[in-house]
Amino acid sequence: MCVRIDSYESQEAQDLVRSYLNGRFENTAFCILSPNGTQRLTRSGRGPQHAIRGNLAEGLERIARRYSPKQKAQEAAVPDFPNFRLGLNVASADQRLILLVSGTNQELKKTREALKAVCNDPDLIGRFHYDFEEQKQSWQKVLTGPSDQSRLMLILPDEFGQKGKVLWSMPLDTPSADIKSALLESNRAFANEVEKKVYREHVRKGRREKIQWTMPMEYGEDRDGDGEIDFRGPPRRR
Amino acid sequence: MRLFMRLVFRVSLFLYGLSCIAGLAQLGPPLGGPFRPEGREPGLDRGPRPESLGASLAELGSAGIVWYPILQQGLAEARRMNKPVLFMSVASQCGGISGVF
Repeated sequence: MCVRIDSYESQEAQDLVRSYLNGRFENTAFCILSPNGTQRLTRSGRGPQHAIRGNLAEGLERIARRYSPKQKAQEAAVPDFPNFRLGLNVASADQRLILLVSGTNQELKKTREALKAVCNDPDLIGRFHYDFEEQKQSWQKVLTGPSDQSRLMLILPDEFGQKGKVLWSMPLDTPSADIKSALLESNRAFANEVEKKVYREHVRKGRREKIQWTMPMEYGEDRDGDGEIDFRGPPRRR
Repeated sequence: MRLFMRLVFRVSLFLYGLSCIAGLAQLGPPLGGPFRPEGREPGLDRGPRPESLGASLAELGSAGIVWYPILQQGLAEARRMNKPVLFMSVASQCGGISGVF
């Protein structure tokens, strides 16, 4: 099971990172946990190389073999984001399309169940992001195209993940087979038409265009673990 | 014989001193040098710089990892399936620029 949270999403996320990094706060933290989340199965650190020595895939395989999986993987819950703004940005960073599900609480509950078959389908798994939203204010202003409440909407995030284009929208009760074929077709077009991001060029362009992304928590690291975000900039001379 | 023993003792003391200095040098920079938290490996205490990063190796549209972006949801699934959790906390920005990790 893979969990990836944003370090700047909340105080709770930052406290969690500090607990894994001996009180320090850094952009990234990595650790393997037991299924109930209470026990660390590896050392924790800034990256996977701090937790697992040698081949990462073999290391993960070794740990996974200690547990016998229960339940069917096809019934796994459909992942969701804490909010659409973050979902759109992450989808842009991962270069994936994101399926936005909007509706009332009751509609979302029903659709979460119905979408399990689609999300866990072997042809679709790991190719899309998903977000469930009750409030249309959370997505309405940043999307262009045919959007409406109580719909499934497939979104193409823009380069910097702050705006998106609705590629198509469907009623919530659309049969799984129809959703699957529409998703497959859109993913094919996406792979053919969109250019792969080059990290350094993306950052350079972002700086040039003065792109700014703000998160609930202040950006920066606390590498000495004193509880304060460190000085940002060139090293200070003594 | 006594003179010889004294010479051996002094040479040993000198060599011990040298080894201590060498040992200290291996431990890291002297006080006041750049900070590196205990237990961290040289070269791994900073992430890669943006200038050194190119494109992802994964093909667009190909199957990737199914990430749970909400910890509680991921842990609930891990408990249900009895699978260990690969946990990552990341910044979905680079110096305030969105659309990258």
